[in-house]
Amino acid sequence: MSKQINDFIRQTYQYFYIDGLPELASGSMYLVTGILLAVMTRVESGTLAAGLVGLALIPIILGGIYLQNRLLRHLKERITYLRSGYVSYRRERKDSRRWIVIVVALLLPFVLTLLPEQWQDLPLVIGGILGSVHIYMGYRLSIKRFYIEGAFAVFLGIVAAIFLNNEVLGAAIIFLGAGIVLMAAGGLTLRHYLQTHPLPDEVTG
Amino acid sequence: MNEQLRDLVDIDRTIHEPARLAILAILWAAESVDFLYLLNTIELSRGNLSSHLSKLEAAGYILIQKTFEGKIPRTVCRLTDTGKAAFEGYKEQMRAFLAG
Repeated sequence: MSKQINDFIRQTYQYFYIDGLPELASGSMYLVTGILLAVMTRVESGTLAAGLVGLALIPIILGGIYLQNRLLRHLKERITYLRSGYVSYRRERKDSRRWIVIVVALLLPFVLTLLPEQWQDLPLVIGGILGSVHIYMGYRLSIKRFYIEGAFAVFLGIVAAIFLNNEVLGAAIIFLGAGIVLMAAGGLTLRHYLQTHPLPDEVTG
Repeated sequence: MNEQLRDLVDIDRTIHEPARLAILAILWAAESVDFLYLLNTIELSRGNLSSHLSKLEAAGYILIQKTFEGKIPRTVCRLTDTGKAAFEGYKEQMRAFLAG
């Protein structure tokens, strides 16, 4: 037992992401958000239809988060806890994460529907925020793949801000691109996890 | 006996053992964990881990509950308030000792 005490603490925090399932769940939510934003680009901005699509984002995103959390817990019970053990995290950690997502989900439709006509920096802001969140998580948890996911979101934000003159389409492309990268990273992590963590004998037998 | 040596003598021996210290560190970071997670992370034998868990439970530092998830038994451990205070006190004592 050569590990330092801090390694055990860090490893316990990292464990939530060991199977790639949280990235698959977040990636799917990014994809849904990206698709909804892409739909918004098809309706004329400033109209009632645009407002309704913007408002529909709130229940869809919040409902999606609720379903995603339930599905994530179910999959962890069936896949992860059987193979490498069960860990439950303290309430305050879960609550702070949940509140960040809820505030972003509530603000996003208003920002998108009320923003000035030509706010070309919006993709840059969204890419910057998504990228910062992932990079910060990578730093806090010492998980290197989060840096790549964050850098990709920032890159998408810069590209969308430079080459697109439709800010909502730019935001849609960032969410779709970041969602695809998250799902790919989550899928690869899950495959590696399943290869390295077979079911124990007492479960298979 | 000088003060530094007295600090070392006062160290909580239940926590000072490396495997038990690792168990408490893990439980300090999480709300609760099961036996399988501790087994995989600390890399002890089942018997050895059980013995350390029993000592921590006897000291009042952890709670052990046996539950079922479907048909699969799960032994869940969590830190008590006494255990949390003891672990944080130990960290403080060690920091003070090493600084002095």
